[in-house]
Amino acid sequence: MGKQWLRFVLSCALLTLVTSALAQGTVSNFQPVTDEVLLSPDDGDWIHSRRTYNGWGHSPLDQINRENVGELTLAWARVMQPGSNESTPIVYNGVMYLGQAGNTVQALDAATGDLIWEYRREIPQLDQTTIAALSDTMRSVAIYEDKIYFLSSDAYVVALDARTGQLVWEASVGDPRVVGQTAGPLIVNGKVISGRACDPALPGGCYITAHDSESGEELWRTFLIARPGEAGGDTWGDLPLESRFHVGAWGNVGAYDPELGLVFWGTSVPAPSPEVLRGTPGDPVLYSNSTLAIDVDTGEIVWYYQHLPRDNWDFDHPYERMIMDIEVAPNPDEVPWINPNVVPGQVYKTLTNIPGKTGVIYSLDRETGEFLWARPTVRQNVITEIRGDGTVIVNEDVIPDAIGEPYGLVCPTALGGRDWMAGAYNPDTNAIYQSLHNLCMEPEWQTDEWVPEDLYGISLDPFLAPGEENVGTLQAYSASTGELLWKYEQPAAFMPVLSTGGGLIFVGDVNRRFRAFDAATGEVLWETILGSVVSGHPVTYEVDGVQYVAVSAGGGIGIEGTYLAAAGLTAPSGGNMIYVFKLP
Amino acid sequence: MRDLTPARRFGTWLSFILAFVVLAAPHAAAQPGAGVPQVQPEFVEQFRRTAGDTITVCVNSESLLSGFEMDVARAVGQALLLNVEIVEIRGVRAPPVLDYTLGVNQSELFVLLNNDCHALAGFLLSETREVPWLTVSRPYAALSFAFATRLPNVRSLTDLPPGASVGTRIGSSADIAFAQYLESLPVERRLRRVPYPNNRLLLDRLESGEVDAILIWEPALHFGLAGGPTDNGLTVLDPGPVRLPEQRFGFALLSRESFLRSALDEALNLLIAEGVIDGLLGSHAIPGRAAR
Repeated sequence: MGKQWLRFVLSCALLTLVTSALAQGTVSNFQPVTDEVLLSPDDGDWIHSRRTYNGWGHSPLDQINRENVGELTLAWARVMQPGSNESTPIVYNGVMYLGQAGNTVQALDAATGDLIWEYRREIPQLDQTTIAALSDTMRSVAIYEDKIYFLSSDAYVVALDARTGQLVWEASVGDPRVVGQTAGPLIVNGKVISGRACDPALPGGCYITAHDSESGEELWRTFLIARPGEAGGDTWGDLPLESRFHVGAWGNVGAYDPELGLVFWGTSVPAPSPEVLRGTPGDPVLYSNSTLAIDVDTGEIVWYYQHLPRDNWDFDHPYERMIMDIEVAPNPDEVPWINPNVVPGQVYKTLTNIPGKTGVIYSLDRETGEFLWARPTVRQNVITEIRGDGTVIVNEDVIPDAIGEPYGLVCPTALGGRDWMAGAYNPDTNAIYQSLHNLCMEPEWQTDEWVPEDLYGISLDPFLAPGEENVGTLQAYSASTGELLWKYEQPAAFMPVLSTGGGLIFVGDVNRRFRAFDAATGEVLWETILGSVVSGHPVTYEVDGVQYVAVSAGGGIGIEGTYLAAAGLTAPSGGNMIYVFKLP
Repeated sequence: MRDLTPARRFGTWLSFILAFVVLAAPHAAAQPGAGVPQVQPEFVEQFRRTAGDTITVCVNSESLLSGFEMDVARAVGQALLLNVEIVEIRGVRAPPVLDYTLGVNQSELFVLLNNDCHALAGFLLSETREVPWLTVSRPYAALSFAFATRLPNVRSLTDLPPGASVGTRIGSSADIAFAQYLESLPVERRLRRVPYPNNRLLLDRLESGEVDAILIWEPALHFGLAGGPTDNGLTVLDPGPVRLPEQRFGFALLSRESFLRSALDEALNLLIAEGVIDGLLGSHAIPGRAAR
């Protein structure tokens, strides 16, 4: 008994030591983040994953601008945890909250990078070998009131004390070996809303959840696969629910319209990819590859629009959505698919951006889900037509009728088009900016059983699209007319995009380059070379009157090697680091 | 202990060579580059530990075959006069229930073989997948699938009436073979294929009558039902025109382990020739045979 007691006392002491070691300091003068702040953040803060609820990835800051961006210099840099690095720093009132691999969140002095506190989550059930950490991705965290929220790799929604980094609450959302969480949460009206991916080991598909921001209580759960007997339930043929898998919401955080009380979230693909293997030939399989308009209070799906029915190619659509009230006037010379009822020049409440891997731009009426217009960007051959009512017609020539039948050439690829690298919208140029890839593939059937990552049932090795010379293509389109404004192409694939009021577009690439482009012309105005793949989401913020631009590099995203190989390049992966720049 | 005398004779000289190789070759871990999955270097151990006369074998602890795999690894060690350290592992992702798969992707498998073990047992050999950094031993066990039903007076797949429902584990090689067979039939003569994500659901849905028959991995049919199929009133069907695929299991290793792979092959040849593998399959009640 005495030994046991001694062990207990020692354990408590050790726990105290460890806990205090992880929470080194306190954020001083912390001001709680109110609903009003989330709706209208200070110009100097980057407070949501895409800075604002509208998903633009744009900051009005203009201290760094076209004229002086060439003078940018390194302000500070700091090592991050090893692992997949697609991080988006959240910056509020001079403090950077940096979620990163290893289920780690740090509060840093945003002007110096000095550590204020660190929270590192122990994941005992996944710690048997190194392999559990390889795919550990935290694309963003969120802030509300006095808490920081993130999604952990052991399938929890977690709330930390924003002042100290101490755990406040945690809520399980499923089996960590079935559920994958990479995107991050969105906080709306005191609800922590989050999406995720689910393996086929969880029959019935995945879900978006809302948790009470104070208590962690789960308030609603919206499943992303239509149930038999419910609306859309017959779009999976006669498959039982337990044989409908994988549709999730893993990509980027959705957008929120406070006027409509709706969040707009994108969904991913069903599995396996070939519909003849899935058992759903000819069926659209809702709500895969869709935009969902979800009532914030109830989780009810108010409307949906399916961008790509009958997925046979792993062409996900779970990326950010952009809200903009703009004149809609698609130019028929460049935009092949237009709703004939659109009144050119009329201002619509739209969702306009590239939501999925096809690379197709869509503009939808976000009040109703009505289709307005769409256009392709990079080469694609899976959509042959989008009718005036928005019905998407897929190319039967790239859908095998029988198991083992060759696919032939399919463009783009399962890497996109676009992938999770968020785009941006600049209201000054009324343009959307997106990293895209000139890639195609010839899917090959998997005819044996190997590993569960082959859940798609086909191999999807990409190659440079025929007739193209560069994998990487950064493109700017008018959000109103759909016209291509400019594009910049190079062998290396581009990564996430930042837009600023200084008339600048910041974007990195897999070949270590981080650049500033003129938002109006696409001219390269500044370039620096970082340590490895510039895979993080760049942000900008202001502290004490000084504007900073931050981006993390390191890679570990699992696909940089594929991008590089397709472009004939080599570049290192690893050495995760955040780099922060300012004017001299 | 089994009589492994012939194998021991083989192993006596081999063990000296192998021990030298394992002990004296602190070869650097494979660097990311041509033919190797891109993994951040922080996750890749750069130097192999000296192992003396011990080989480390990873076994998927969630596989229905795990007990058998461990015994095969130990038998190989006896044949080579080497110590075998068994490392029980689990995949990052949950495997299908009543199955053998390990939930890892290529990068994870590479790191596993680089950091944690010399060889992974129970690896399904593939004829269509070739990755330059991976090599496999000769197969040591061959397992298959079976159709089963509760319907009376049904002895063969061809006895099932058109439209009868057959549950399958989606994506299994047998599922693909069955689907291809159905596609070869006129629509009006086809059975209805109902894909399920795991073997447990197949057994449950057959029990509840939601499907008329199932196509299932044979070990799952035997281990998923206490007493096996016959005691549970199931009939194992003649597959008729469906050619059910055979799965062959072996060891996976990094390509640089070519000497160890050769040694494993030689040891497995002996174990199979002496009936040791068949004996282990029998002692674990696994329906299957040693791979010839």
